[in-house]
Formats: sequence, structure tokens, C-alpha cells
Amino acid sequence: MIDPAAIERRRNAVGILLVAVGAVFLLGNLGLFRGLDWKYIWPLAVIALGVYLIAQRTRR
Amino acid sequence: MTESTAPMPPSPANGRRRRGVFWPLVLIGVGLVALLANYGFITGLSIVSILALWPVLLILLGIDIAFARRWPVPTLAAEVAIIAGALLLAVTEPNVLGLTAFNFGSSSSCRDPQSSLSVPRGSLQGYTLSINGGAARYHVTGGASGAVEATADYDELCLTVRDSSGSRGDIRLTQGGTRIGSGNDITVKLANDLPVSLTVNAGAGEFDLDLHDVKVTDARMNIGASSTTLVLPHPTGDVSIRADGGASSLVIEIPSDVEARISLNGGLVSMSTTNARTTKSGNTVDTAGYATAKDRVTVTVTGGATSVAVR
Repeated sequence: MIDPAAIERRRNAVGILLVAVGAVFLLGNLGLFRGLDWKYIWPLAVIALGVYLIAQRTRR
Repeated sequence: MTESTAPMPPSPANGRRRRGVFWPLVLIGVGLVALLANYGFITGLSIVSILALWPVLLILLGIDIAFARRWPVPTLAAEVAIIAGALLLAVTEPNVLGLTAFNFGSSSSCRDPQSSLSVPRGSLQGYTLSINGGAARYHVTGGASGAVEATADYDELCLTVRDSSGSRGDIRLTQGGTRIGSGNDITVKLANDLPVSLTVNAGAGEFDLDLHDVKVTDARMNIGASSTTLVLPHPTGDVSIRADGGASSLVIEIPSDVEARISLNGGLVSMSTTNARTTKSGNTVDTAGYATAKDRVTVTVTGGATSVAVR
């Protein structure tokens, strides 16, 4: 049986992730990240996500 | 967006009722702005500034997925507010919005983007120039002391020069860097006296090409969703210009000393002329002296939904 609360949490996470990604791209289009080089930023973001996931798992 | 079948509060009926509000709201907003723009209440709005709002769709989608079931009414209110805010931004500050090229990898052609570049004449007798641009405001004119001079507001220009030692140059100007928005101007100057074969590959942007003083041998323009103004070159011989457009608006200015024909090919292309020297018959606009002129420009526009205005 799938836990409805877990589905709801997942929906929330997906929604908030979309909002965050949209916000980053919108701020980019507003010229806020002028001069930032994304080829250095995205690997850092991937590393940060990995660290976050490990931290979450070790807490449980 | 909102699946009505999942057993989550509020009731499925509520979810079903709400479904279909998100996209209609977006359509109403966009239609409203287009209508106001076409009636002349809004000026300065460009395709680029509208396209630059695409991340708002992600934000709206995210809000819809995360909150619409639990708080349908506040979510709807927030979505309306966000759409209104985004459209207000596009209307009041169109120049702030631009499309950003997120350069996620190493682009081999553009490792060291610059804001100012030039190619000296050297022994060049002529050259081919290709300009590969995204969404910026481009101004291409004559008057360079070297062969090609380009300046941008930010470090984003890259130049590849092949075969510059010989008499024929092969020059490529590419946009790199992080930002290629409409709030950004790029000026490219070309030598007046060197014959140039020009190719412009443009995404969504504004292109202002004043080629009147430039010795263009032929030109090819691949324009996406852009608005382009083209002043035709003073020709030597038969100069052919081809423009392939997506959803773009193209203004072609025929200077008084230029004989030209502009013809349309396929798609939803429409053309109008306000140039007194021209006559329009079917899909072709000719200046009075085109048929007999030795030096003339022939423009062929092939397009998706392109509107062509001849001045």
C-alpha cells in the first residue's frame, strides 16, 4: 500500500524543485548571473545535492 | 497538472474543477498583452522579452503541483499574481529581460569570451563572415578600419579566424559567455571596401543590419524568432540575399540608390510595402529599375510565419 502522505511529500518536493529551477532561470534572464560561469556552477550544485542526500540518509 | 484521481484532499471533485485553469490563465494573459500591443497601448515589447519569461511557466507548474490540492484558492490567486507580475515586467522593462545561454560545458570554439574583438585587414582581399548569435540586440554596419570589429556589453564574443594569412579570410563570430539577453547590445562593424559573403545564424533576437555601405557579395540569414531590420547594400553585380525565418518580423529598407526585388517563398509569409519606388505583384516586390539594372539586389524570404515590411 502506498502511503498517501509520502505521495504528497513527493508532490511537494517536485513542485518546489520546479519553482526553484524556474526562479534560477528567470533570475538568469533578468541578468542577475552576469559573469557567472555555469560550467563551474553546475558541478558544484550536483555535489551539493549529493552531500544533502547523504546527510539526509545518515540522519535517519 | 492536477490529477483528479489521487485520493488526496481536497476532494477529487475539487481537483477536477480546478483542472484546466492554469493554461487558460497563461493564454488569457499572453493574448491580452498581444492585443494591447497590437492596439498600440504597449510599445517596446519584443519577442525576446516574452520568450525570456519561459521560466515563469516552470514556477507556475511547480506551485500548481505542490500547493494546488491543499490550498486551491490561494494557489490560484498566487498564479494570477505571478502571471500579472511577469507580464507587467515584460511590458514595463522589456530591456531587462533577455534569454540567457547557460554554458554548462566547455565550448571548444569559445574558451575565452571577450567584449571587444577585431580582425586586422592584413592581406585580405575579401572574406566570408558568419555571425552565430543567440538573443541579443545586434547592430551590423559598415565603417570598420580593420576587416571586422565587434564590441559587446559583456565578455561574450568569440572569434575564429581561419585562413587570414591569404587573400581570402574565413571569419566566425560566435556568442559565448553566460548572458545573451536583449538587454545586451552587440555591435559588429565591417570594412566598407572589402567584399564580404555574410551568413547570420540567429536565434531569438533583434538584428539591425545596415549593409548599405558594405560591399556584400551575398548574404544568408537564418533567423529564428527574431525581429530584423535590413538595409540593403549598394550592390555591385547581382547580389543575392536569402532569409530563412521562423516566426519573425523582417523590415527591409531599400535605399534610394538601390534596385531590388524581394520575393517570398512558402509558409505563412506576408509582405507589405510602403516604398514609393516599388510595385507589388503577388509574392514579389520590385523597384521600378530592377529588371534592367546591372547592379541589383535580389532578396528571397523563405519562412514559417514571417511578416515582411518593405520601406
